[in-house]
Amino acid sequence: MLTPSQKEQLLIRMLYKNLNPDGTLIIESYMYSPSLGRDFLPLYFNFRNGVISKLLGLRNDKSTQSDAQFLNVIRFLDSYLSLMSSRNFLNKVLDGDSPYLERIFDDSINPSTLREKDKTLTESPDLVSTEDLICNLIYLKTNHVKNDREYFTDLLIQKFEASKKLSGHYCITNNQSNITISKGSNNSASLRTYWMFSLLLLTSSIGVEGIRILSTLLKVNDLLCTIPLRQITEAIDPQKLAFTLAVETLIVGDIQKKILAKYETN
Amino acid sequence: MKLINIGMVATETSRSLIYLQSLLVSDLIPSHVLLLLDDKDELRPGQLPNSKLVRKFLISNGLNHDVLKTGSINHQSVINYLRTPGLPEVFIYSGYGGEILGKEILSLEKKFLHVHGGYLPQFKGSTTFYYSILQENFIGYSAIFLNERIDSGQILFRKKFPVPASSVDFDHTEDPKMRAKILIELLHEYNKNMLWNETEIENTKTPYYYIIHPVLKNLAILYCSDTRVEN
Repeated sequence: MLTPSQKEQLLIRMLYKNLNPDGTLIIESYMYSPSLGRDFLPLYFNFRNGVISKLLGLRNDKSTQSDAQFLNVIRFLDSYLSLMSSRNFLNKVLDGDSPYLERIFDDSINPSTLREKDKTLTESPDLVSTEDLICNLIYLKTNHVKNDREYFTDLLIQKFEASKKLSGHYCITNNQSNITISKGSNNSASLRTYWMFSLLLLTSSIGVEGIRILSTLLKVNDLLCTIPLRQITEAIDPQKLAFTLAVETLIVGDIQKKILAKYETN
Repeated sequence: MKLINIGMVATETSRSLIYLQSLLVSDLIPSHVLLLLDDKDELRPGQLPNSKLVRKFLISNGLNHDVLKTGSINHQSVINYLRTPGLPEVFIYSGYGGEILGKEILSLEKKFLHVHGGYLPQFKGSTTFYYSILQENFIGYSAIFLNERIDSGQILFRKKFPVPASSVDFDHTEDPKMRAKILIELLHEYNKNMLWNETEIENTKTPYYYIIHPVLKNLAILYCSDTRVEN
């Protein structure tokens, strides 16, 4: 019988090559990853839940700070999460016994903060900060604003999938209605930007139709989970990162149930 | 029967080996095979651990072939080679995964016939085999002539299949076998009137799928297994 720690190590070896000297992981190609049958999914859930527990042990003062894009994503996902009867679980992730989600819905949303970042692309279409671009895309998506920018999410996914990295800035070129983005700076995106990217992908990862995006979300979150906790919690509120990971596990669990149900009815 | 004016670009991969075995069994012999041998230490995507099987197969079956020591279809030696007069106009393409054909090779007067592991245009990109199991409860394959964009060439033939059993090795066995089936069916059709049936299906403007995350891949395999048990 494997201990939880041995199971976590097994999962890490399956997904990644080995550890860097600083304790972070070197991600191996996802190509031809092994099939490990029924043992694999419980290992995944164990691994993510282990990270969530550690993050919740590191709550800090930032947890109470308002974060417009985060709140937008929670609001956007609420009907889906309620359907899965998961609000109690998420309340626990976010604030122990206190109904954090209810507080968000009742008091915390300031409409002016939710509208911020809507200017990013129109004001400076050539060179954009990746974080601003992602904030803008989250705003548009979660507020159901009709726009022609959904394509940008795919362009960011393309960039991330090619190198497993995001640049701090991107140049946007609109050439004969063919929009492309290219690296706008040599600086890597901040850890917070990766987390924002994870939030953006969460909004499109729901259900069987979101599986394409979910695959990239899992990779982004793999990256976030491989960074030493002290380092990552300096950049991202641990509670909010824990929430993002918890919703990811709920989405995977939901797909697992839906696929099973589909096959049972066939 | 020798395939007239159809050659094959092969590599030391399970896909190339299964293509060649299937072509031979179906009496469809490529008029010429170009084998690309990668001399790097690390295994390339799809490369067989014991990677001399394709060459042995070519020799033992007396197939007309040449060998180039590069793993890249875009290498100058390949481009120079394909300029040789008298080579076929169409090559069945079975190169290493993860490489797209560059401008120079596409500018040659050759066509590269590829069987993609997804039902086009919906499932474009990598490991679409697993995505379509999860999303649609089927697997699909499409034969195309390669162009400068990934999986966006003219569709020649496409077909859906029920999900296979998970007990088999999808990547190295089941997937290449299904691709070979499509290839053989297409070539038999071509042989009837020596024409490629280029469909009118629009094959652009659909999003790409990237290599599936192992969590989702295992979900797909798991539920194939459940289906097979229930059936």
